[in-house]
Amino acid sequence: MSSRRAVNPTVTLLFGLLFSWHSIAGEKLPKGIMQLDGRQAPALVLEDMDGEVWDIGEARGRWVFVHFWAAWCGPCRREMPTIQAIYPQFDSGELEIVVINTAESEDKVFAFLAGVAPDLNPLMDKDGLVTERWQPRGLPATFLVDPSGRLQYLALGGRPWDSPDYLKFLQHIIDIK
Amino acid sequence: MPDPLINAITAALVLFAALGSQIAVADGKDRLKYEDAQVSMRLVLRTPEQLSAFYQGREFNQAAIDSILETCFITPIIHNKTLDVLWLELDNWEFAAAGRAVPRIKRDYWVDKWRAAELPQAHRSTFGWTLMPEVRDLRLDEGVGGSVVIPMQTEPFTMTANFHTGADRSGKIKTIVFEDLRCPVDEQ
Repeated sequence: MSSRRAVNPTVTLLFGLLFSWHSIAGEKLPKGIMQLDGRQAPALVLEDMDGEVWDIGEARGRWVFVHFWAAWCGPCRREMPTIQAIYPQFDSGELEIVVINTAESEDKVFAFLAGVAPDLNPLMDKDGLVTERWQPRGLPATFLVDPSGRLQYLALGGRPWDSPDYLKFLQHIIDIK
Repeated sequence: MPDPLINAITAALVLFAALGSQIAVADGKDRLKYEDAQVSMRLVLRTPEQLSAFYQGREFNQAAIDSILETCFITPIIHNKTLDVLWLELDNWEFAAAGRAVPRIKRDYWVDKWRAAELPQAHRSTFGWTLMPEVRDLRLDEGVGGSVVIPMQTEPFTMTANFHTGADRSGKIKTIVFEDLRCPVDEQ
C-alpha cells in the first residue's frame, strides 16, 4: 500500500471553491454590485413569449443572470441595450442570461425589445408576483445566482454590463466555478 | 412672535445641533434640486395630465386614474454619492402646509381603491413599483426614485426629508428641506 493517502476529490473541490470565493471576495467589486448572503434563490418558473416554460431549478451547474425590468422604467430602457450586447458573449452553459418583464403586456414588451434587444426572449411575469417574491430593490435589478442556486450578487439599479469592469467581473465568477 | 414659540424653535434647533444633524434647504436657482458632496436629490412634480398619460399608457382603467388624480404625487430621485449608507425611511419625512402637518398617503390606502376600481393584479404590481420604497438602505452610489403621495393641496407646502446615515444609523442625520412646493395643475 502506498504511504500517500488518496485525496478525496470532494474535499479538493470544496477547498478550491473556498479559496476561489475568498479571492473574489477580496477583490473590489464593480460599482453598484453588492454581495449577498448566499441564501437560496426563490422559485422562478415562468413562460417566455413563445410559451416555453423556464425553471430556475433546472439551471443548476451554471450561473444565472436574473434581470427584472419593465419598459416604462427609464433606467431599464437605458440598461437593456447593454444586456443585449453581452448576451452573445457568454455560453449559456456557463452563464445564462434571463430577463424577466414585470407585469406588462406582450405588445408593450415586444414593441420595446424589438428595437433594442431583439435577441432576448423575456420571461413574462404577467401578474408581477414572481418579481415581488424576489424582492428586488426596485426596477431594474439583476441577481447573479451561482451554480448551486444561491443568490450571490445583486446589481443595484441599471449597470453598463458591456463595459470592461462588468464583463471582467462576469467572466471572473464563471472562471471560479 | 410669542416668547414660548421662539423658545420652542430655539430648543428644537439646539436639539438638532446636539444630535449632529445636517439641515439643508433646497434654495438654489432650481428649488426642486439639492446637491452636496454626499447626496443629490431632485423632485419631479407631474401635472394631472401627465399622470393620466403615464397610467393610461400602462392601460390602467379610468376609475384607477381618477383615484390617482385625487391625490398629489411628488417624485423624488435620490442618489447616495459618497455615504456608506443613506437611510431612506419615508416615515421620517414630514410634509406641512399653512402651518399644519400633512399626513402622507401610504401604500395601504391604495388597496381599497384598487379593489373598488377592479384594477387587475398586474397593474397593482406596476403601480407599486412606481411608488418610492418605504424603507431602503441606500448603498454607496445607489439611486432610487419613485412617487411619494400626499392629499391634494391647494396651498404651497414644504417637504422635509430626514435621513439617518451609516450602516447602523449612527451617523449624522441628514435633513433636506424643499419649500414652497405646489401640487401641479393642468394649464388651462
